[in-house]
Amino acid sequence: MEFPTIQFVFFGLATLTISWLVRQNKVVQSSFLLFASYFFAWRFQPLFLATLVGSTLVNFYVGRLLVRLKGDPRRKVVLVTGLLLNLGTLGFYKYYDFFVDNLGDLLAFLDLSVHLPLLELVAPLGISFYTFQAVAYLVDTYRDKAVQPRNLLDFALFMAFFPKFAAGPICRTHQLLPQIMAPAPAAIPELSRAVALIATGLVKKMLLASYVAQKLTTDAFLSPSAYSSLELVLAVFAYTAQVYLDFSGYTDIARGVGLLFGYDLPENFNYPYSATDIGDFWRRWHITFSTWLREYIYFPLGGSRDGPMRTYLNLMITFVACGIWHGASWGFIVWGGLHGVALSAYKASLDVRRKMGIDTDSPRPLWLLVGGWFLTINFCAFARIFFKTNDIPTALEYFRALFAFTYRGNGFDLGVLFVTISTIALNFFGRRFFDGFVGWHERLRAPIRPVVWVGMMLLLFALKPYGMEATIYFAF
Amino acid sequence: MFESLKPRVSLDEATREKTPPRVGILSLWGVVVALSFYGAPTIREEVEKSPLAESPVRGVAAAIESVGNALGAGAARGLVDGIRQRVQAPLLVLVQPLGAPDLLPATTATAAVSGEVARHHISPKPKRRVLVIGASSIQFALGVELEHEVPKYPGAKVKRLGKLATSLARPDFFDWPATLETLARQFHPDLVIANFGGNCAQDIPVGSQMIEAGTPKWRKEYGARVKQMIDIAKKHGAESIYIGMPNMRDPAFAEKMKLVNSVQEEVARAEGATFVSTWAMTSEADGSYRETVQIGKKRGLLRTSDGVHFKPLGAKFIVDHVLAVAERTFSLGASDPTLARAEAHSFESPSLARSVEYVGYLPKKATSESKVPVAVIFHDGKWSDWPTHPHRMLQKTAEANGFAWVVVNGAAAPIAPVLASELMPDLTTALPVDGRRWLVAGPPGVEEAISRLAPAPVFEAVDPATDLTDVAVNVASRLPK
Repeated sequence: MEFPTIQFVFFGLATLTISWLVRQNKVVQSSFLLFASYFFAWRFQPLFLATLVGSTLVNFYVGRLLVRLKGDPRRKVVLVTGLLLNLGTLGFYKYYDFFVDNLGDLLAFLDLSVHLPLLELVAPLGISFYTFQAVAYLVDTYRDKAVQPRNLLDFALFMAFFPKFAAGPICRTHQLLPQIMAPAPAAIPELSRAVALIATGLVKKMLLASYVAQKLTTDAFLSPSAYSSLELVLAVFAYTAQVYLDFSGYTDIARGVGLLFGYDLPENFNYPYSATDIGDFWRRWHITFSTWLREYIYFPLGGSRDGPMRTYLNLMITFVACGIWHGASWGFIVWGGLHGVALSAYKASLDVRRKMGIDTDSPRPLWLLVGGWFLTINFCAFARIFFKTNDIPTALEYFRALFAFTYRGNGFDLGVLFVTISTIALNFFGRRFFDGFVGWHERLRAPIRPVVWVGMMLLLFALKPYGMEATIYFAF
Repeated sequence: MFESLKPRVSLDEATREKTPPRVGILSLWGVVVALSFYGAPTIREEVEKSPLAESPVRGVAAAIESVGNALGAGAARGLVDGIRQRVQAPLLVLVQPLGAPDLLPATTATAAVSGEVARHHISPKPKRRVLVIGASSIQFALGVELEHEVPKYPGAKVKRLGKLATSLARPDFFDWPATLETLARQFHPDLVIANFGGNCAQDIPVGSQMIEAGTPKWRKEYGARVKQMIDIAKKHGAESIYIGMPNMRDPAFAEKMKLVNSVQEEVARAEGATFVSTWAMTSEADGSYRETVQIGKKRGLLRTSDGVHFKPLGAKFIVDHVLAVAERTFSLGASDPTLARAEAHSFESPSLARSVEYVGYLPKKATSESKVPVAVIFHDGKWSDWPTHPHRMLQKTAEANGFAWVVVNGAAAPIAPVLASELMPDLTTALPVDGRRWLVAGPPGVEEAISRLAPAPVFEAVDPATDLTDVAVNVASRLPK
């Protein structure tokens, strides 16, 4: 049940109606929302629900134990056990086959033979996202920084709330639990912003991301040798636009739906393609995940406290982990590693400039901002080749075709170029459009609004391609 | 330009928009009702496919559709669809297509092509839309490789659906016939490549009873299910290729796969589908399970640790073979600039009272305006049974030397009498080849027929056991430059 489907519309609206009808009684409302969220997970596959419920129970009681053992030396053991349970489950589902497969290759290289079964498990939808939420909860509880749920119901809804269950945003306790525990608001907060988020998300996901995928990127990455070098360069940028449109579109819809229920989910994207350096990019891209990486991997490793070399190593470890999180393949590992190298290089350049007495915090001149932006977007786009192709041989095949400098290929639709450029441009001017739309919508009289919404939907139907691409981040 | 870098102004709680729930929710329901009238046919189809198909919900969906049509939703749909078709038409393709081969017309039926004897000629429509379906192997490496390779053919599109743990034996678990029906309706394939079997050798539920795997009754029931899949593809205008199951590490499991393969092959042959065996490719010379494979300089494991599924290198090995068969059977074109395209043709021979099939290997420069010499080979074999190597060598030598190979299917001797009177006129009409030079290779015994061919026949005696690759290389080297 993806968001932009008939099933979800009826499910979501029925759930919304009942949720507001029972808002006077918070326990009933939370229980109903939990039931609806579990139904949402079960509709994908019953196993997904079982894993989610198991994770919720384990983490709630481990969290409770951590609170009870405050000051007790055994507390660390409990934390480590909780973390191992979470990461073990995640690792088992996502990485077992990858590990066995590569172990087989390694042993074959050494003329040894081992026959471990491949389990071909389908990782439960959303497991990466809610496992990371759970890890954050346990670590924050250990650090006495977590907002504690009043009961299992609060925690279960925190883990399973359906708008963010499948692909985030990854919420930390202070971002969602206080809202779950507070009395339900008497009115729908910021309906205009919710409508704007949902509309933006639908346009990004159903129209633009599907358009570039169907018109160029899917075919170009499957068969790069059939395309000219110029087309392959465009496909790289078009895919960069597609990932952003698809994932930020999904997040926009999730946040919009969350707002309709009275929950303000955290922002995940802050116009990342306007970033003027790679550090800036990671502060804007998949914010809840990059924050998680910083808080729960980079800082515990020592962050930048132990000298430059250790900082670079910490960055590398953090971003290789980031790659691995995306999936069990060498392509993701290389993609993460490249970002680790880029961030280390950026950090080194800052250190050098500081040693030269340059104030790195002062505003940069325009030419430096433009140069930094150009480098950053090109780096992000070309590193995506490893992200998209997943494996190294296919990525190298893409690079070979790219650098063959052929000028005749399958051709491309001018619309793809338009969407790609517009997507990047909207990273600079999008907020103005968004805020303008919200302001305009707020001024609309209530009876006019539904007419406008129907008109917007019909326009979307008229413009959108046939079919819709699956959400890329559902796979992670 | 960089204004979005400025921090966002936080929203003031006091001025936050607040909408009474009743107003907001009624507005949303109003939109959904309006859009339900608009999208009523889609909603009805969704309901019919769902478990609600037999419930009153179906009636409600039909009623919404009727009311919507009465309110003019049909006209709105027509308007939106019209705009959509215009929008979805290519805006502007900026770069010329890469030397795509001239496409042959769709099925052509030509009578009296050269005025001698009436013949009915068939040129299969080149396949462009390939649907790849199957169980776990298609979900993983084998399917991934097919999805990666098929789009390399000119104009080819691929759609893949692999579902692990599924089979043709248990539609109660996953209904492949219904899924194929839906996929065919959505994608309009002209070729279906399927791989089933790993989970097929199990008891089949029919009504309240289970039919035991391996029994004659099971063979019949399983065969009926394979036929059903081929029939669904045919109904939608698609040919089918069934990729046979490979040898397995576990001997007991391998025996089960032999059973599944035998039924699939039997049904495929009877129903005009193509069965591509992978058994020999995945077995050692003594018939045992094969562990490794070498492609070019790369040597690696053929199968994953479970001894069932393919590693990427193994998948490449199998897919290259499957696509080589598909190329010469279904005119896929050439996937690589160094390879000639293969086209299958046939004609009904009045003299022999049967059809004669041949495959032409045509270099890219061969067009109706620029015809090329042709060399005809009789090899006494059926091309669906060839290994991949000679096929690729014929593609390479044709492209490199700028002439066409024509390979006639089946035994040479019966066809020799109609070589000059029927075969040559047919292929010169069907293929972009000139009539100035015939270079013919064939098994001993067809010299007389060859000697009648003017102006310069070149005869390369070919024993049926000779490797076709050697023939291709030898004859190519004797071509006048």
